[in-house]
Amino acid sequence: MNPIQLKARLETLGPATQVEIVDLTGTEDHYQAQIVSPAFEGKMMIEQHRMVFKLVQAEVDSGEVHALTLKTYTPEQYIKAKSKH
Amino acid sequence: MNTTNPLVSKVEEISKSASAVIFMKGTPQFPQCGFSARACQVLRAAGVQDLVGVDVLSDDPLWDALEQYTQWPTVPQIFIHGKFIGGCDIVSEMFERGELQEALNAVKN
Repeated sequence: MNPIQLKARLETLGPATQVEIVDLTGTEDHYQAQIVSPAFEGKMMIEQHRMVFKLVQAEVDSGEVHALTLKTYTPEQYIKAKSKH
Repeated sequence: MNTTNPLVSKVEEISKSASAVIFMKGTPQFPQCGFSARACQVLRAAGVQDLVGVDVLSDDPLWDALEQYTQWPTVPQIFIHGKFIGGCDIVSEMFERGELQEALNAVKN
């Protein structure tokens, strides 16, 4: 699964979902994804992560995606987090 | 949730026995894994006084029941006021955002 495919897949979380993908090793199977989406509203971080992993369950199970570390935010959380740095 | 396994309800009971409970490798005093150690550090830094640690290495059946209960594949697993919060990465990230302190200060609902 290449970065473009992964980005498109994660954008299916819903409208106004912003996804940034980093291929950590250049081998297209160790990714970090930063996702900002209204779909995360009112959800604990663990539930946000579960929503994301559900989208790539097949690729994770098959090992096509070996590692995926996540940074998830609602739009409001993202503004708050970025205002600190 | 598979309720036929009696150990699952034991996991639930333990998870509610303190404001913060961590199922981990080793104990808070003697952690046997870096992620477990870091999670304990973060919880203390967030102000947890009564951290309860459960060593899954010494109780395989309980470890299986834990994974059935939370449907989360890795350890450590952290509960705040009886609610499953996540593993080391999530707890560390929540700490950085101040969300962990919020969860701890939230009165048990």
